[in-house]
Amino acid sequence: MAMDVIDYKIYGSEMQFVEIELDPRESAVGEAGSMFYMEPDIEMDTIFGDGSAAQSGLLGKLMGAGKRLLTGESLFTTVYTNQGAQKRKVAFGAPYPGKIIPIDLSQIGGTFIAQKDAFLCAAKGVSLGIAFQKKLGVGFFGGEGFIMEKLDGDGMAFLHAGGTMHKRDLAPGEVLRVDTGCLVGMQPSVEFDIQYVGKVKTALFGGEGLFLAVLRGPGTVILQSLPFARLASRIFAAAPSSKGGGGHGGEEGGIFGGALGGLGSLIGGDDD
Amino acid sequence: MPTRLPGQAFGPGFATAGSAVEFDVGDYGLTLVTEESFDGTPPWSDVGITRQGYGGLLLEWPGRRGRYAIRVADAAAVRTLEAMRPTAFTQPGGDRATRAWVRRLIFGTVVLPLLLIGLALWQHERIAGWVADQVPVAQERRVGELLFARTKAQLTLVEGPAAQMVRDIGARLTRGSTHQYEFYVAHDPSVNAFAMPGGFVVVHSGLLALATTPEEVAGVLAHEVSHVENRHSLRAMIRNAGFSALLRLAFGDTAGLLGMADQLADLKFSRDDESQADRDGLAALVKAGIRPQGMRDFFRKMAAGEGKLPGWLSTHPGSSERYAALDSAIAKLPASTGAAPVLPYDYAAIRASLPGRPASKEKQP
Repeated sequence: MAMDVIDYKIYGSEMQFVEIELDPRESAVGEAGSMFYMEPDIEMDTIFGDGSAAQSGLLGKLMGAGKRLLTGESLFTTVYTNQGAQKRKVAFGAPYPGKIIPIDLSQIGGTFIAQKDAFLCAAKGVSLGIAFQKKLGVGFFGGEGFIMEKLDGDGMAFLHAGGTMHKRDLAPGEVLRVDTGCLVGMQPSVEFDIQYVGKVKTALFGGEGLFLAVLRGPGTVILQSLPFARLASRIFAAAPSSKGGGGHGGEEGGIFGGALGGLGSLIGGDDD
Repeated sequence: MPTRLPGQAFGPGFATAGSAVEFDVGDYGLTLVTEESFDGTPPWSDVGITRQGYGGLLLEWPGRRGRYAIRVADAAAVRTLEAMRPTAFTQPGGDRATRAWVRRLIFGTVVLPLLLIGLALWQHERIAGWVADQVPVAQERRVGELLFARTKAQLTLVEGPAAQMVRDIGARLTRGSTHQYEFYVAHDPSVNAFAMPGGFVVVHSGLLALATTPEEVAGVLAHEVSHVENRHSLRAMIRNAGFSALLRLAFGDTAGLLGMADQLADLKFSRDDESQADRDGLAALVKAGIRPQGMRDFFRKMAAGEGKLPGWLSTHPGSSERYAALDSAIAKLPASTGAAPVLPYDYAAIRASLPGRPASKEKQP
């Protein structure tokens, strides 16, 4: 049996972590740097690649590691194995505000396509590959780039994204239009395309950009309400150094920066 | 005989995230093989087949209770279907407005900049010329003054009958020009002469020593004057220093240009510039009523000394080549131009007045 069946519990509301219970000899893989805490008897081992059975031999490992590099993940994964005689727990924390969503790959046909960086942890044996977007327009303007992460296997995987995560099942032919960048993941049966917003006025002043992502069923999609890039740009815009010209000090910088900041919040519709 | 393929079925009665199924495909259509009593057997005419963005095929059809779909991911199954229904695939291409915008955006952000860069590289000569034409003469003069002030510090300028003669001939050649010319003789044994933007022309004493008639000196001066008239230095500056120089010229930032003076000091004219300067120089000689044969003769001298003469010649077309071109151009001129009065200078005395003239130069033809 390639997969390890794991029990888990997700804690917290806006900044979550997931606690995974490992039976003796069971293992979980975590994205490097995501471990939060672990109980005694759990051994950490950092391996090259993702530790799935498919990566046997040096070449397979190199390929797997290279794919991880392409999706923006670390070359290494850490495997946490329970070496004791009783059940032990290990926890993984989300790197920024958002939600953790569990996906049981066995329930959805064994494959899930996720946004780069969305992977948090999984049962050992889940392999991380790349899914390459073949449509030029979707790759450029779909908000997810050309490369997404492909999770293969039949165990549990945990994804993390910003804001609130929303899981939706689309019936065959059902269409959902989503702001680009808000897609966290989807079953490969879902067709991912882009659509022009329809009016130049909307494109310029609607604030959604020129295109919308169009998801057409059948299959499950996971959406995030607040892509991290959006949150980061808001924080950056509100940071005192950029708003008040604090780095330069001085009266002039303050007035100038303040005026610009005021203008910026006026345009952005900010209510701070 | 039907072929059995694996797939993942969606639709009424199946799991929302899809159920693993097997289905048979035959000539008529497809039949699902499930434990449930699924009665649909859609004919191929009802089934839409789409290639999916991340690989795999999606088969869709309208059933009695709603829409159904089967996704086929297995590579062998995909090949089987492709072989069986080679013409049935519909391309999910999005709507026309989206495709148009995608094309526009890709063109605007990728293709257009590449085209512009290509155009700039291909037509850089013409673009430099156009930009040079936009720079006012007064601005060019200011740049020239700055550059010449720096160059002057490294030159030993010579006064006397030679400098007087060069100034006189220069004035005669540049009568009516929009540029303000200044002619100088520098003490330097190399056979060289150069022009700087704005009308600064410097002749090395070595060149005066090699020449034997005032007409030969006039030929060299006519050539250099033509460089200035055609603003070759300015063009070369724009070519070499690129757009930063261009912007500084456009905004009148001469101090910024001075900072680039070292970069501008070793400007090279292109071979085309040299040929043009030869042609225009000849015309200037004819216009000023000076015998053009001197120019040609001087090239013959340099052609004879080629290889020994450093610097100037390396950037110029071969002197013998230029001699031939000038010779044929002179042959086409009316006879009267060749019979213009000789310039009234005692050239032997002028040569003798040059400081520290090396004796060896005397022997060169």
